[in-house]
Amino acid sequence: MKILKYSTLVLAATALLTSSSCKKALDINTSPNLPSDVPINTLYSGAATSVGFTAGSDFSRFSSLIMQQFAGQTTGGLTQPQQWAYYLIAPTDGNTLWANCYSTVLVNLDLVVQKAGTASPHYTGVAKLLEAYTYSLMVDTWGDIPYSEALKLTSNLNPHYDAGQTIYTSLLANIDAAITEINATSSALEVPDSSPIYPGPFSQTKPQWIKFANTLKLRLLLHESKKNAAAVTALNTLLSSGAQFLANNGDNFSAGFTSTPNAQNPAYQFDLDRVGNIVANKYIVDKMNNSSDPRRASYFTDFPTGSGLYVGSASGDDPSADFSKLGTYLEGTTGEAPVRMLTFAEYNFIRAEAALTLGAPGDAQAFFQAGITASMTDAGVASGDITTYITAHGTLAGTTANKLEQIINEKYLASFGIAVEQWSDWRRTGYPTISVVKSAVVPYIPRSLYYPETETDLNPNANKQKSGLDARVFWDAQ
Amino acid sequence: MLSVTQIYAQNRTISGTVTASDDGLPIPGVSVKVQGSKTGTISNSDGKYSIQAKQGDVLVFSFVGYSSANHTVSGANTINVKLLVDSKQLSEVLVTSYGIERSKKSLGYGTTTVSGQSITATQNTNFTNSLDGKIPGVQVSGSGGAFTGSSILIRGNVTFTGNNQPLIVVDGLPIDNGGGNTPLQSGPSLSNRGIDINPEDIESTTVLKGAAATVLYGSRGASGVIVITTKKGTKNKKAEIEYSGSYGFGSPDRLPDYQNTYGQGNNGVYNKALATSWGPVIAGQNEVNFFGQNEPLKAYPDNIKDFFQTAHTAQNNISINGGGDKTTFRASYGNDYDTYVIPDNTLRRNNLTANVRTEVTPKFRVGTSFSYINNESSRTQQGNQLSNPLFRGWFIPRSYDLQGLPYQDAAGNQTWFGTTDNPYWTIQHNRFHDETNRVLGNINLTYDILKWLTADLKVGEDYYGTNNNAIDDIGNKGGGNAGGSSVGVGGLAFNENTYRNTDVYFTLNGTRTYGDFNFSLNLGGEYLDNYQNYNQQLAYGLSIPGFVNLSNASTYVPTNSTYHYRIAGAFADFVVDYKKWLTLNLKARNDWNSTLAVGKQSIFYPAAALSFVLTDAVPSLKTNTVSEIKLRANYGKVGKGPTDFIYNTSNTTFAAAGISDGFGPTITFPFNGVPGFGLNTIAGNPNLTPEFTKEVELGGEFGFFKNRLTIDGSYYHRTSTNIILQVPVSNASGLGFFTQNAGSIKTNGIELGVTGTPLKWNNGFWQIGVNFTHFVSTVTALAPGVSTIFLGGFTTPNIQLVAGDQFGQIYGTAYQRNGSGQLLLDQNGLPMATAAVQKIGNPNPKYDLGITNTVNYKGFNLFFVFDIKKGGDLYSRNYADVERNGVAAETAEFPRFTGASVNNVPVQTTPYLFPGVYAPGTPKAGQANTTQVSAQTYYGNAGKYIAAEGYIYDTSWFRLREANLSYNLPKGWMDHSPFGRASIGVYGRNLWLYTPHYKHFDPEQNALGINNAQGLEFNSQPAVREIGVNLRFTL
Repeated sequence: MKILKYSTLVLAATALLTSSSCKKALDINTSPNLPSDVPINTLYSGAATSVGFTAGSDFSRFSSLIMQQFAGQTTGGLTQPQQWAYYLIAPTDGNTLWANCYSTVLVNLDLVVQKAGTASPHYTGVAKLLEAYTYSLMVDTWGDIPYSEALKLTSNLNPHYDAGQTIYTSLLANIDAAITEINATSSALEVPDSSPIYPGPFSQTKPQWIKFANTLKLRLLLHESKKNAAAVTALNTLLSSGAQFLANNGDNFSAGFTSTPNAQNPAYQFDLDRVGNIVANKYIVDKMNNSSDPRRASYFTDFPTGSGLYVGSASGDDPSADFSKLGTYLEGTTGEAPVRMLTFAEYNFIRAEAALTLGAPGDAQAFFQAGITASMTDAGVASGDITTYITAHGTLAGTTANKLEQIINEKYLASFGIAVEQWSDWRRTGYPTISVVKSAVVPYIPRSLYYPETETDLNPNANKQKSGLDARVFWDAQ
Repeated sequence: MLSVTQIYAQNRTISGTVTASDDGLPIPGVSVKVQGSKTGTISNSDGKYSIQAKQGDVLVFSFVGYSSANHTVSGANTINVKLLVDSKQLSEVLVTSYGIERSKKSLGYGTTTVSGQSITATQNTNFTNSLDGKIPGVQVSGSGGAFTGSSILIRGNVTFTGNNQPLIVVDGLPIDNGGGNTPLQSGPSLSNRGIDINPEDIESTTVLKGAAATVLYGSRGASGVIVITTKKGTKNKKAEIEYSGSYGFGSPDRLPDYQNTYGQGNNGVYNKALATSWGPVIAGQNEVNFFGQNEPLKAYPDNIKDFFQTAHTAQNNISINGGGDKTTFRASYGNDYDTYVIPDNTLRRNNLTANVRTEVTPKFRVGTSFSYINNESSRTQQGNQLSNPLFRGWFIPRSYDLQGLPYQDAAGNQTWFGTTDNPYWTIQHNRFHDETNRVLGNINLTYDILKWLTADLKVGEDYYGTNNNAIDDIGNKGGGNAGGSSVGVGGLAFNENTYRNTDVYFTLNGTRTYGDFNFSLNLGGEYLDNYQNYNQQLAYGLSIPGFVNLSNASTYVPTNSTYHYRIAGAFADFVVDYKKWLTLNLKARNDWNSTLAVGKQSIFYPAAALSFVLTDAVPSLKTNTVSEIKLRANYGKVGKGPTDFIYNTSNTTFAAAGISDGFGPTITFPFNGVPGFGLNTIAGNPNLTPEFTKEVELGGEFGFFKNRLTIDGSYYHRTSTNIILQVPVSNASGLGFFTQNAGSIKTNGIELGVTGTPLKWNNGFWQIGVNFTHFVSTVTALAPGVSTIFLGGFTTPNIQLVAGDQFGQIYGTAYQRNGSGQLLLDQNGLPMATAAVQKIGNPNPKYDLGITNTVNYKGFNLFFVFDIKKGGDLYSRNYADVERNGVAAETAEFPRFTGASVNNVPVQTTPYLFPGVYAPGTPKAGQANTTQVSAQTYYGNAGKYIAAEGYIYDTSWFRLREANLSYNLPKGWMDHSPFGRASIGVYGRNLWLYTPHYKHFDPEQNALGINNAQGLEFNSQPAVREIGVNLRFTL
């Protein structure tokens, strides 16, 4: 049958089509959009900038709203900052932050460590410090989180959770390792001069990285001190070890941003994109108004403009635009303010507290005043105004508890808008004595965030969702 | 005797006119033959014929679409013939795949054909908007906004996040219909590229629904195929010029019902800076407005209505078609100019199309067809963003003089109380312009190798480039075009997209008859090469207001991406029938997809279909009541292949670094001049297969009363497995997604097409078509460990896939309730939202019912379509906005104030009570709520609006979707004019809408446009009611 003959012909042609030549024609599946490998410095730049971005966006917003430094407001519909400020912080609200931490910051820092290997210890050291900083914020925010099984890509899609204490112990050990690596005399590859954190030739920034490493250790040990006596010992040992700590505002651990769109400070961008959603909080504004705090001019915008007056909003206030907004300290004039993550001021307040309550060396009063001075200097306050303020408010007095309250209250002012730490201080000490807001949806101030919805939905090995926002992280002893 | 016979048998000239029985118009091109001889002719353009015939000869008049008529030559030399329209015969032969023609009777699967006439009845610019209500088994949903198209869902969803829209094939070759996805929080509404087809060029549209029908398209066939046949010339027909034109006027088909009693402000106090209308009673009192002027407070009842303008649609089409012995041709030019009810939105389309087909030799035919399309538009921002003029435009304070007060100063700087862009300002200053240039073309060679064997080769190209440029002007508040970074400082977005699809197919088609068996076999091969390139330049920091040029910016973010895939396929279509009443059809295709891993590229797709015409097998069953019974059954397997590289590459790739917090703030790289990369958090997978859809379909076609009533119905069950999904994984792994063949969906559905002619009279008839669509697509499994997939939307509300539930449910915060379902209320008597989102609505309609009517009387033809949708929930932000901002009429249902005031603040009445009980932890826990609240509290942010559940509405509707009344000018009038046929008409769309559960707006809206995620409406722009006139004539 002819039909058969022709069928065979077509089939043969088809077979030919699908043989060798066709195989080549079909072998076009290499993406021109996504490289399969990239240089280490590009990974580092992306990750380091993201460290600053996460700290200056969600981490800062959640903790500053909870701690009544920021207030949620609106001139239209209900806004998320309003909800967060009255503690309606749903599991879904943490999705983006959690994803940014692991999938944008940590995984790439991990790849930097892997790529640098033993040949480039400066790189591994710096990456480990940034990892330690980010992980510590996460533990302080959520409690137990994936750590030892995390970042294994497709080889472990369902990482188990590690106890916060275990993670802290590992972070402190990693910081020690990082210090050793940063101190190495040579490194095949160097952290680029363009680093958004401690920019400049590594030979010059190296001491700053070491100072930051030690100060971060201080911060973590202070967190643990409430619960763990060994941490108190370790803190005192560290202080007497001759280790270098942040020594001036130039040593501040901060990430740089610019005035250029898409490179601006995240707080500034938020204010642009969500006009009027975050304004100054009545609590901190009133506190600073009472003491005529000279930092107000850079912390807030005045209202009405040009009046030199500052007006904060409290949760539950009617919608209005008639409030002070965040000022140049956090935003810059066009988004160029750095995101401050661990400051010389904080170092001094840590020392003041440690001297007061943990038997650490040094004079609490001196550190207390140094902390205020560092903060005010960083906020551009003239030295005369600093002296005036310290004269009026710089003397510790009363019981140890009274003095501690003074220290933490001042630390709270110095930590304006910082990621998590002002919230951690309150959880550790109960200071400043903020109250549950008027329109609160729960009868307490949150002590940690819910695990993100994505995590409880997608990770069968995730910890059970918390019963409430009053769940405590490991160092937040009763 | 012999001589007498010879005398009588002498040839003489018989002449006459052939007319159509329905409209009385002459039919040109009718074949007139003397039965049993080779003598034949064709009627001319006036329907006149003349032929040599003898007394007693039988003249056979035949023309496609009409029943043949036989007339015996007797004494008269003039035989005028009326041909009856044969609607049954029209659909007898249809094109299935790759130009393969099959008689409908022999098909073992359901198909529906929509005529070109029905598609152009109401002058839709976008043909996808003309299918609603006309095809059983197909859900057609408009997406709202300017110049948008419709989502076409054939027999349910087969994939999760991939494309569920059908493949569109024009004259045998696929064309791209992408681009109708509307971004949720940026940009204008976008047109699907199906808009490039000029509806006037469409002869007919056949919808292949099930797997057995589409199997020859293999890995592209799973969502059904729309086969469009374009108009061609007719052989031996004098060239005919046809003109059609229309002009229409449009207005919003529904506007909110506003209150006009209370002014701008809050708690009864005027506030010039607030967007809400919870202010004082409007009584002409003096207030200082936003501009610092004293102004008596008064209501502006039409401040929103007057914002809208009349939309215009003008269409002009001219074509010439004809043919000789061997060659046919058609050339056409179409021009379309549309505006929208929002000022400064325009769409201009020019279509230039030509096709020609010729017999080079009796066995060898060559045809070619080319179209050039130029499509240009200007559009306004839409969606949930601050530059959408209707983001807050729908609830401009009732006391705000939107038209009278200025919105910019002399220099163009925006002056406006809101934190959003002023509606007028954004229209003028935040602009979007795009232009598409497209070429569709093909060359077709056909050769009859043997009498029963034909070879067919077709090479086709779909090529287009789209350029768009957009500006967020200096001082803008939304950054709609270029993103948050352009807010205030201004930004530009330039996009340059290229799409190319080259397709070559070859078929060998043979038919043979052996005794009572007829065989037909089509063998074919296809090769497809698809290339897409996207270049984008975002630029920020403008220095010259309104200047749309990249030199105007200070910083730039360029990106580009390229996609390229190829598919090679071989297919066979084998048909055997026994005496034409029992037909078995076996079909198969094998595809090799470049996007699959080497060694796994070959995939086989089989199908089988059986058709049994009982009334032909047992002719005695045919009665006056029962005219036809046909039963059919089929099974098929089709697929959906991946079209992106990522599915096959290693699981570690990198992409430019960047980070965003989900609120707008974004860091992009290069950052501060430094490049950055990061791990691509979407991991690929080399073990992927295509998605598979298997389907069993049972159906039948039944004719009654000489086919005056026909019923065509199908039941089908389809399961889609191996659905390719970027499975979200715990971010703690470092990844965000892992590409896998993960889930499955099943769909059960019933579709019915009933056609009946309830009335028939001398000069006309009334024909009704009822098209019923019901299907339920259920997600049977997601990926292991995945309980939900987010399809689109917000934290709340959003659209999710959850295993065991119907496709794409609406999730959001709900009101807290106790075990017995009562609302739990706080101590202020207000509802509380659940902390987590839960299912709050089902956007899938229970059924769709289209009723098409054609009433014909003398020269008048009335065509109208009712579109009935039962069920289908929508979360409506517009609805929420007009209530929570105090502008909707119901917010002023009761007087808001008692008349008394305390400290100059009016005391509010408390006429509302949320039914429910006080929540645990409140002083009166468990007791029935007795705390009455004010209108502002009830409708405000802390009341009804607190949970997304509050604004879920059933969108069931009954609408008069389309209507057209036309009049064919009588032939007599035309005789002494240059015109052949002429008709004039009026048409309308969205003429009437009834929504029992939905107020204020037309609910036919989808925030995401043509998208798998349906059921959200956010700040949408109005649907349009259009009324117009049309004219059509031939020369």
